[in-house]
Amino acid sequence: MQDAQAMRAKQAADAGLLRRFSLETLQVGGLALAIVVFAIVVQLNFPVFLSLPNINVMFVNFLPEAIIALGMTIVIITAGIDLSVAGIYPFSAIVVGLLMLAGAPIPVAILLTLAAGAVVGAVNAFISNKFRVHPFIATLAILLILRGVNIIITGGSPVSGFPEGFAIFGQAGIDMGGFTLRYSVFIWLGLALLTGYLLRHHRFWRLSYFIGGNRRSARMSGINVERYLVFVYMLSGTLAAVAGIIVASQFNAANNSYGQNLELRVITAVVIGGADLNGGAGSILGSMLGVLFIAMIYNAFAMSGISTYWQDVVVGAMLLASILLGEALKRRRA
Amino acid sequence: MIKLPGLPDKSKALLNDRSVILALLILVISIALSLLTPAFLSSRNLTFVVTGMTYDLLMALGMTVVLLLWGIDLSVGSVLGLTAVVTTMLLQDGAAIPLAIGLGLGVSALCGAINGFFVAYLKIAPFIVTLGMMSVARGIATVLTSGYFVSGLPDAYKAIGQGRLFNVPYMVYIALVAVVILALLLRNWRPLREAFYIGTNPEAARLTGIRVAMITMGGYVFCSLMAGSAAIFMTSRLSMGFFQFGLGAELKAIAAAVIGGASLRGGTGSVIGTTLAVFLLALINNGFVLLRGSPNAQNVIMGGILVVAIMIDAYRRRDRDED
Repeated sequence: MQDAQAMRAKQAADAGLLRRFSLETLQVGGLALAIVVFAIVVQLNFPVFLSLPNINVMFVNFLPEAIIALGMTIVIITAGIDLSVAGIYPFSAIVVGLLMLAGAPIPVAILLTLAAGAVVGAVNAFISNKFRVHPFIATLAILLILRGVNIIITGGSPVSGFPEGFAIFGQAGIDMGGFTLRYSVFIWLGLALLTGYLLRHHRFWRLSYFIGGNRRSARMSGINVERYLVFVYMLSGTLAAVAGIIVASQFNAANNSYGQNLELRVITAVVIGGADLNGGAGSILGSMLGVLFIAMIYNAFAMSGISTYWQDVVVGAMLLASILLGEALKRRRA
Repeated sequence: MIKLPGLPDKSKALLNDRSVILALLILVISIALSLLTPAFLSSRNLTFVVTGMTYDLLMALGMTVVLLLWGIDLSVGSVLGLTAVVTTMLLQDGAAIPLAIGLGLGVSALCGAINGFFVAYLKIAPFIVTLGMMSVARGIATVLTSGYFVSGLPDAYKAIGQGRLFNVPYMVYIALVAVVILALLLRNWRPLREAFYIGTNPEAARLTGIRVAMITMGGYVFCSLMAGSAAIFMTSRLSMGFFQFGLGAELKAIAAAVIGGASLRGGTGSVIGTTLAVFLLALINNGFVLLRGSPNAQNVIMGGILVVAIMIDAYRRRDRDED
């Protein structure tokens, strides 16, 4: 009897999933179209826009956002949110730097830093699960704490002077004649393909849609939701640590001021990419397109010389427009 | 009038608890600080503390009302920045002071009305709407000033933030009056009492004939106006406008309101609780400065108190909460 009920609930959730999926395709397709149109318009005015070196610059500038957005996407699919990434990002840059300055070999420093990111993620999930508080509040508390900790452990001044071999993660790359294709781009690409594939095809990862779409029926069908969320937030924390390590390598320095408002930029990109803050919808492809779109807007404004100050206005307007479009589509279908 | 069964009493009892805990904490910390350092009880230091907390208090009060309505407003920091820039630029161009303030507050009210319209009438998640407004308002403030400071304000305007009565800045009195009025209204004024109901169950509130959309929109306008008022005080006190004023203030305001008893799930929140929470945070911050601890610990303390508040809440809910 109960099994039948759970089955029906699951079927209902699956049906919802299917309908959402095509809605998602529409949204992601619309975003891709907007990107193409935007690129053409800018290209016609500034012929360097789509040159390989400039595309490379866009990638490098928004690499941290792109990597962190991978984890944020899954967090948002489970109807959660993770503000703490903007604290973990500078924190891990500082930690990996301090460890190396203290004489730790590079692989050890990196592994410890990744573990630190995962632990912070686990703490987020623990607070949210154990005290039944919205992840916004739990991760806000951790963000505030980490921002303070970052200043305290660095004394407010940048940490720098890392060993030479560390440059491979954010600075070194393949010489393409005119620009360097950094290895860090491949790190991002590998992570994006992996998470994108798993989220689409792997049963365990797809549970995040089920949990975000209907937590109650997910729980009733025997999923340990709390434990799953620990996994999701640990993943998000680890990815933020990856981004922090890359940026420390890129600038050969770690500063507590890295990542101001980064959490909101990432969330904006993920939402523009079609993720639903109520959970149950979102995709890696959409989120990556969202980051790309924001990166293009920033880049185009920097290039145009009109006034880079317009970029925030445009990004905010794009967010509202994409939401309104999504709502209109949803309403038409319902 | 429809009686709202059970709700106000229950929430009141809950909030009283919270306020008592916060008041006790404030007392303990005050005693500890005055024993540790004589400078703490000097009138100069106490004035410094209450003046510094005025902006945070105004923003946190506005946030309390929005949280009460099961909403959230991430745009307050940016609205503060935009209002600061608009008001000071108008003054710089020679506009009359009341006109400049009126237009500045008008801009903040407009931001709130746009937020409220999207949330209440188009039913879009407040998190996203106000996130968008956060970018847009900050962006406009940046565009208007090109990143420069706006200075050269008339003396009469500076008097608003710098003038003193009994050696205490005017704005402290104004903030206190705002606290008292809001506390009374929340207890006695019907639309605000209905806000508790809306925040607990918007659908049920709508079915009982409460004008949910209008009250919700009003909440966002109020919240933005509080941020706008903070901007007026800030610019007149510091004698300048700057597009980065209020950066990160939204998270602080949310943290203070939640420590004061508000919940992201709506339906709870207290003016007294929020006020005490802001005061507590200001005291702790002051303690760190006086004891020559690192002022950088401020965020750590704030986050730590937030975690403790979450834990106390969970402990208190342990018997009732099912899901």
